[in-house]
Amino acid sequence: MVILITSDNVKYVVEKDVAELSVLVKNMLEDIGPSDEPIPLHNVTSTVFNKVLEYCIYHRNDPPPSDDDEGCASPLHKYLASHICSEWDQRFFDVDQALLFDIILAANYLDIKTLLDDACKAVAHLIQGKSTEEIRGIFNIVNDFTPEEEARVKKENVSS
Amino acid sequence: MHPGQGKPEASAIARLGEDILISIVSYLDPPEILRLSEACKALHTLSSLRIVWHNACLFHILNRGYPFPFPFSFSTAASAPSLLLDPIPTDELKSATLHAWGLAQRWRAGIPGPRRVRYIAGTSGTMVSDVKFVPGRLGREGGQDRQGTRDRQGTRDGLVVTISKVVWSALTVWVLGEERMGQDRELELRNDAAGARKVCEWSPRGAIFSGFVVNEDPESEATFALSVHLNEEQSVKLLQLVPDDDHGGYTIEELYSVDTDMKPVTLAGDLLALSNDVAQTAVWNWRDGAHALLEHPNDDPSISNECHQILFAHQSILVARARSVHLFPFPALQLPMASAHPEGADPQPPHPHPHPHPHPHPHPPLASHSFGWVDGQSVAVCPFLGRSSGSRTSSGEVVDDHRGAVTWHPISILIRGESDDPWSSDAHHLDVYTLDPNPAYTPSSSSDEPPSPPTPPPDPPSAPLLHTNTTPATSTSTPTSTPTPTPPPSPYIFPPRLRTTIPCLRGSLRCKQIMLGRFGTAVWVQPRSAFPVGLVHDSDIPRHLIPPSHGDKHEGVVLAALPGPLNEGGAGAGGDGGVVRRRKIFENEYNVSWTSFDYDEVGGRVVLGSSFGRVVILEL
Repeated sequence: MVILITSDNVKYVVEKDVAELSVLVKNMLEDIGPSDEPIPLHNVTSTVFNKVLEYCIYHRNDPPPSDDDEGCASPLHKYLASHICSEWDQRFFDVDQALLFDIILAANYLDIKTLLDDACKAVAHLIQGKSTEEIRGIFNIVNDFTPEEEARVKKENVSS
Repeated sequence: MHPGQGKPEASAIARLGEDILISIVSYLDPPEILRLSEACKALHTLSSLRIVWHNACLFHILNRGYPFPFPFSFSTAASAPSLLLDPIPTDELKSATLHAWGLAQRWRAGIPGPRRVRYIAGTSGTMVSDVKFVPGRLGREGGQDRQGTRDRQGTRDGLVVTISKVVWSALTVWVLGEERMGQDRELELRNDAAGARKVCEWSPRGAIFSGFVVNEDPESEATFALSVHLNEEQSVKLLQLVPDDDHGGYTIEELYSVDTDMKPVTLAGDLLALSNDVAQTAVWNWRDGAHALLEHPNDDPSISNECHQILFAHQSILVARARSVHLFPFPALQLPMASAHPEGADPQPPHPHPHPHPHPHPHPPLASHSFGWVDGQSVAVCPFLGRSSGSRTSSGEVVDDHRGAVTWHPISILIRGESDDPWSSDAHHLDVYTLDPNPAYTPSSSSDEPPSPPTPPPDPPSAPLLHTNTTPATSTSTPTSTPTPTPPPSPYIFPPRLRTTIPCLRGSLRCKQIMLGRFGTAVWVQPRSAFPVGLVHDSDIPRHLIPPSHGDKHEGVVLAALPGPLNEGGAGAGGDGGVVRRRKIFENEYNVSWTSFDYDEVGGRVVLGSSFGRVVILEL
């Protein structure tokens, strides 16, 4: 068992194999050796960590992602993975945007590659098939182009 | 929207940082990236990063098996595609990726029709016997002149070469017009007579040309090879197309000339493959002069067996002739070449000849097959055939569905059997055969020759990563320690396996050529309504005397997609069978027979030459 403390001081007691899905936690455990000391997670709130933990417990028995990031099969796997999204994952990522972004940042901080990839995929899914105007609406993006700039960008995109 | 309330200037998406945004964008297809880039300045900047287009090309084009202007070495492309993208400037990578995406989507939606038809009027009144595209540099293929006239020097975008004849032959290079269509504007047919300009011509007085080939490698100095008859002499000449910076044009310089009656068939980088119409094929490295002779056993040299194509395959060379197909080992090229007669061919083919010249020892074939007498055929390595986009791709190795694990791709052969029989029905067919890789073959078990030529062939051997023991009892390979040379195993399994049959129409054709591209698409000319032909040339018969039969008054260009990433509906489970989609996309309304065509699969273009000159370019 590993004790983790989130930035809002909530204490979690987590099974080691689940906690070690986070490369950050895994490395810390290796550094400090066997100990009952709680591990502080400075950049993660309990709200977000609840979700992260839910994901890690559900996916604890998944085969680990390939170590060989640059292996020739990896882009293919990545591509294929973008189309294989389980029902569970879909429901899991059906959260409000702020929480989704927080999950991404937490996954990035905790170094949980599969969660990070899946969450990025979920954001991409929001963009897929949408017009520029719809994309602005979804992400609350302000169009900061001048009309001339916007015309130029559009023209550039049409002709390329 | 939860995050942005009260502070409209800050989109929460900016919180994620560049690396994460790049990762998100990598899941978007090219048009989605463009739409995202129009949302705001920050996303426009992000979408202009090289890594974004590198990922887009890798995941959404290369991994899906969509046509993309690879350099001609497919093995390298398969093992390390990202390395091949590195030399392409970012804006070219972006434009090539978008072009490839657009073309692939048009194929997937059905057979693409010509979005634009252009003509080269300058050849009118002459007999154009051959017409070919000149491959552009990587990322600039397909006639994409995004920058208009800027930076055109030194590239070969939109170049077309014709071989025509008035009194003697002329090789003419044309540059196609500058403007190009928007990506999504469909079917904007425009007749553009002024769309081509002659940039240079090569026409030695009195010479007649044949056997014209263009180098597959756009970077090679030897741009063209052709056979020249002049003053009773026959020679093969290598020509270089040199950009002329002062005038924005080109000049043609003769690089090399060798006396031979063989004709050039394939020019791939430094290697030129030549053939005669009987049984001999020569492979010649024009740079260092090393060469080798290949010859299949031939009982009757008086019967013509014209060479249609020579393919540099996995450690072997496939020679496809009108009456037979032969697979030769890739030979060790011997130095030096005698000053002339690289092949020792007898100038009088009717004489039975095993090579009067002592020096070149001809290599016999590893395997042979005959499809009968064929009118047209096209051989290609099509790694994606029968696969759906993204199911299995070019990454690393290909596991053949039937034969276990092998590390090189099958060869596909598209065949049109002899069709000039006036008494048979209209119905005819094209056959697609496959030469599967032979898992029993290993480089070390090949013959006494070194398996690798001194110059790497265009498709260099890939490392045998996956040679597991899958060889069934039929294996004939023996340990290399065997002192006596055993018949070397072939890297491909003979005989070819019939994969699928495509119905087509029978009839008289001037242009019997068919072309199969490596992304599994094909082009051929469909004859006009069949009628008895024999002693009279078809254009000599008054039209009203011709009985209608299958109802086509004109010959037409047919485009086809074999089952694969560009025709997913047809992809069968085992990669075999499946429906070949095809459609006639353009008719020759002038009733002046087409003589020749070329197909630029990656650029999405077909060019057709006719016996009365006007050259047509179809942009798909």
